[in-house]
Amino acid sequence: MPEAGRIVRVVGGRGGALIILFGLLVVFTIASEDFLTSNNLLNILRQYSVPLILAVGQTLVIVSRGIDLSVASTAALSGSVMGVAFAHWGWAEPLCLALGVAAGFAVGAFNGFVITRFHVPDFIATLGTFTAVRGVALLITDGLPVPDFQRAVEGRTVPGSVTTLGSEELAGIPVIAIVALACVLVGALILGRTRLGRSAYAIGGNPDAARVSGIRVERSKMQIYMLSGVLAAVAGFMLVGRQGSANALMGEGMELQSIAAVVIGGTNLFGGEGRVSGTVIGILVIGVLSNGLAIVGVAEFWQRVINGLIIVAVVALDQWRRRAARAGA
Amino acid sequence: MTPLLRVSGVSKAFAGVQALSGVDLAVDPGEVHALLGQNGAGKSTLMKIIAGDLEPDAGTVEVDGDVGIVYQELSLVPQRSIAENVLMGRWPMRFAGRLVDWKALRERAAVHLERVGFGADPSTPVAELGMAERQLVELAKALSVDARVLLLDEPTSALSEPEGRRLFEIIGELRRQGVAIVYVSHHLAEIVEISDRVTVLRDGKLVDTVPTAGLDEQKLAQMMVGRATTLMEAHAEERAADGRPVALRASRLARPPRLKPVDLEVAEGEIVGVFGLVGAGRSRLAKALFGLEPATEGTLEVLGRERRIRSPDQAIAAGMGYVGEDRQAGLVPRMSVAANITLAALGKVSRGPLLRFGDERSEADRVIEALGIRAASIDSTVDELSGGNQQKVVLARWSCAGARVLLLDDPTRGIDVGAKEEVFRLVRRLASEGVAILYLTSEIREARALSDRLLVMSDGRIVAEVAPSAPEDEIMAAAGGVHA
Repeated sequence: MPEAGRIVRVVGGRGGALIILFGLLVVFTIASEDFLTSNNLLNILRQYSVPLILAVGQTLVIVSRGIDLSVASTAALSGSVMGVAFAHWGWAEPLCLALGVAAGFAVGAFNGFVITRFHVPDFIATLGTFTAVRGVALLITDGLPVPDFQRAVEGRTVPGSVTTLGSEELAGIPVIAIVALACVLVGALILGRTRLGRSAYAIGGNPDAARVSGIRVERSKMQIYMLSGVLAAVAGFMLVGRQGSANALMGEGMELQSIAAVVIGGTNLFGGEGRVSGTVIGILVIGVLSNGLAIVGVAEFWQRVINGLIIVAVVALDQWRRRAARAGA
Repeated sequence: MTPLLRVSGVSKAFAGVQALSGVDLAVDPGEVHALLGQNGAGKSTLMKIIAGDLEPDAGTVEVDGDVGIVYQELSLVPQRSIAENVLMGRWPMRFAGRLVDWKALRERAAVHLERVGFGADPSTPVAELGMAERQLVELAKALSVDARVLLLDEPTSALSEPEGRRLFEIIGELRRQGVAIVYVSHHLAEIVEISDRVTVLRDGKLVDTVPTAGLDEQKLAQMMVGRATTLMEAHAEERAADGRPVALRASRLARPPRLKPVDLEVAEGEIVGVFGLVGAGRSRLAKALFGLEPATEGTLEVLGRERRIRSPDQAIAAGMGYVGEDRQAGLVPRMSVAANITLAALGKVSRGPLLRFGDERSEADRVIEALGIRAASIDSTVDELSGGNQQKVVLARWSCAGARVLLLDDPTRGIDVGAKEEVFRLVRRLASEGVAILYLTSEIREARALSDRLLVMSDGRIVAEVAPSAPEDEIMAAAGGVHA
């Protein structure tokens, strides 16, 4: 049945997420006149730019058969460190940004190191840093919001560049969305057009084959985790910019959101297949769904139930598509 | 005699492609019936239909009793005991079916194990068994459902020759017990030896069913491919390697305890065969040379330079390439043909960190053309190709990477006769272009047919160098000499 096969192929993967996204847009537009307004749509962009940045790094990690549970904690650490260095220590702005990026880089390097040198499974290694990194962020901030006005250097709050990127607008478009778009483009370039990206697909598709073909599997995995850490740092800055302060508990739960977006976007959770463009659609599905449910007045507890079930449904659809495609082959 | 298995007019199509059309097959009690055909001839589909895993589009399958199956890939749970595996999911229970009756389990399993002549303690975990022993457990498991029809899919592919012998004795015993056996294999010699009748499939159609008596391998190969074939007659003319520079030289190369010190030399353009039975250390030698299991002792010289090779990327940088015995382990299944081909030569198709897709395509096109790979497109994923073409993709990868020394470890394993011949031709052609080839195999004929020089391995060391034209029994004797 080639007809059915074609439909199955279009509906699955990125296509599946795209159709669901479209369906959600239609439903919410009909259900509430407040949904399809430029104000509301810009709101979604503002709200989901940070998870999107995390999800870009997550895509690279998952394509190479890894998983990074530490991204949200890393974002909180980078944002906090940057904030503390600026407000409490009085460092120069560029140094603060560099320190935040270095923190993200270091967490990624630590993840990569533990995974490749000590053969700790990716899930466990990043589950460890998920908790430990949040702990470090709490230590650095004493669990208080930054800037803490008793300790802040006179006149210091949040670096100007971070505020600009995180909460201002450019020609009516939130700058934070432009930053997210830049991260998407960089992620897509790396995954689709570089040797590192090709290595990620090969490692995810068959690590033995990658090794035999001369790909330095450990080094590549290390680089991918470091990249994820750096993107998490950028996400952390954006969080700080958006809320005008840093705290060690910000971004909680976003690691799961990022994984969900990657998987909804058609990336194989077991590696080897997937694209950054799919992840963008995945984040939009999550964002539009949450926003739409709130707007049409679904109770918050129900929103959680529906959000969760949609993730399962999309992946079930994807699995069904893969099976159907295989049976047809 | 009434057949225990009768397949009549079975047809099956997948997505418009006819996999089987109107196939008949009848197997009598006590008969070993070989099923022969190239990859894609429809053997697996037919087996699945007989086993009840697939519904035929047309036709019928009548089976008297149950069907037991031994698949090519073993289906045991390594962490559990032999007994549990044999009676998997059908464990004797007690206390109203709530607890496993371990004693009864062991006793019942022992009965089935005895039928296949396997005397190990049934409470041993399967993980502690060798391949051959696992195969016997698999066989006992298949028989434990009181199967009167047994399907054996390439049962010897993981076995060494003596182990294969033992399996044949057991098959003989089962035949005496009146079991009807369908035997699928690529090994023509085995089919000649073990089967009573043979059914040949080609392109999903029945070619013929004939008594095996009086057939030889040449004849069988002909029926399979539908044309006269030179099979392995095309003996390489013995080319002297004198005067050509040595491309690969190992001196006392070792990784104790499994790989003992090995000395060998391969000249440019030379094919050096290494024959060894399963467990002789062939694969270990190849892996040590390529840095997959780096040697810990001795020295290695590649293309005139001494190299310490600790990982495959170093081996590749030194000019080497490697094809492992497990084809699947070398390919990235969901990646395109082009990407698989250029995987070991990413530097060649990129500028800095950026890939250049134009270069990649032209590079892939060039080697696909040169090696005669049949793929719908270079953008098809590699898992859509037939086994033979997949193996050629792996070879193409090294051609693309410009490897001057190739280590081929049983590269024809599990591919059909026609594809095998093509692989042979390719190997010879690469050699004629000056590539030094170390060809490791457990198939004595391949070793004789391809090698310019032939080394024999046993028990982790090279035990003899023999002339490729030496009689098979002499080579086999050398291979079995040490541990017999």
